[in-house]
Amino acid sequence: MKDGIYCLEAEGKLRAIPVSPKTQPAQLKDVVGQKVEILYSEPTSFVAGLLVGGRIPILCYFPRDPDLSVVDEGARATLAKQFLNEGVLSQENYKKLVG
Amino acid sequence: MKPAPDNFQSRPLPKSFVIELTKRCNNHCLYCYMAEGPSSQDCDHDRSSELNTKGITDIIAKLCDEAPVQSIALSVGEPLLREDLPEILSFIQNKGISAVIITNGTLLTGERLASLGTKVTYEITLLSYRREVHDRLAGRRGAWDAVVDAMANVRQAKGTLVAVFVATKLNSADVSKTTELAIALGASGLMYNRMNLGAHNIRQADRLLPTAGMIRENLDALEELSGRYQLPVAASVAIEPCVIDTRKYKQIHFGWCPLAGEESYFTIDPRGNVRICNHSGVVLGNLKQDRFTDIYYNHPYVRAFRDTWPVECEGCDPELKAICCGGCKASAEQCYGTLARVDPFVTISQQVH
Repeated sequence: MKDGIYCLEAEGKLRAIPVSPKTQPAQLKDVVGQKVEILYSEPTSFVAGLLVGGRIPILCYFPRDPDLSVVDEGARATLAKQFLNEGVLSQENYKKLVG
Repeated sequence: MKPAPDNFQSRPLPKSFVIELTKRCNNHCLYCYMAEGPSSQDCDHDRSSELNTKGITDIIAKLCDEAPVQSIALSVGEPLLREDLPEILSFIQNKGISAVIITNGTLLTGERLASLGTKVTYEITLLSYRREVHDRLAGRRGAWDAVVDAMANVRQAKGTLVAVFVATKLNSADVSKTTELAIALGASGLMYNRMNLGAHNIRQADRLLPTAGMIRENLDALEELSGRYQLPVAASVAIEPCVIDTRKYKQIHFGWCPLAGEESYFTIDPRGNVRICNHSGVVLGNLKQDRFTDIYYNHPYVRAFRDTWPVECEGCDPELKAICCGGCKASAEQCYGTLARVDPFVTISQQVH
């Protein structure tokens, strides 16, 4: 925590953590000082789920973007397979999605 | 009792803007909300009146000089018809501004995607999981196939994708399965927009405007899907709470009119004209010669837009009024020619029920 703001050290830089609308800042207290696993990230505008002790991930946004979140990849793959089987998705697009 | 202080002149400047790069479009969507309707993609008159690359980037630079710009949405009709889109996008990104491309998706081939990159959010309209329904609403054959290809391309490139579902009578029954298809295609969020009425599409209201019952069923389904898949769902076109009580939906984010305040998204058209939002047809000035801050703080229309309440809202529950801020005044103005009437969606919905 720096100047009252929760931060995450990632790629050698300290980044403020703007939490999602569904996350209370107080939840981040549990993470202070710990190393956490980042589930998903992109170079800019990335979404990260901090997995702490096997509990429900804390969702954070860099920069804050309340319209984005993390959808379970298993659920995506299951739906993609279902739409492939129903003939909605082509084999070519299915490969792009799950490859 | 003293009146509340009027903070009009001291309100913060907006951070988000919409830049309409062209009025031309290769789709012919039945529900198109543009006041004049879309021009065809080959309309030479509209093409020649569009600002060129330098004209657009000059306006963006001017906006950045005057306002704390954080995000720009490139939109309407179809921005991918502009061949200079990569240059415009780079200019925006080099200023550290986040960008969104609002597109019908049909021109977002793998090659175009490579030229635009993945540091931008793609907002792509998916009207149905059924090819024939999407194509009918989009006004041409082949649109659905191109959209699904585009979304899969974005997903493969690890780009950020938000799916947009425009609810009409023709596709409201498809919302659940279409949302699941969007998730399969990699969407990080879903925007649910009920059809918004304007001067052009009001003629289609009987045929296309979804009823309150249809929208309620859609919201019930989306509330469940959002929780099940952890998919953020936003309804950005106002669903006035006097028609449907939106307070019971905890998963869905409802957008309300920002009333020309800090959260507003003033819109600049392809000629540099400024409007209060993308739904409004009223031109307030032109950024080639006018300062944005002059328009924002001093244009009498801007204050009138904020302060005018629809007469139909006079007896409304104050709690509901505080939520909806008078609904979509821009839609009312397009259809009735005045800000003092309520959104025609409200009028029509109440007539039906």
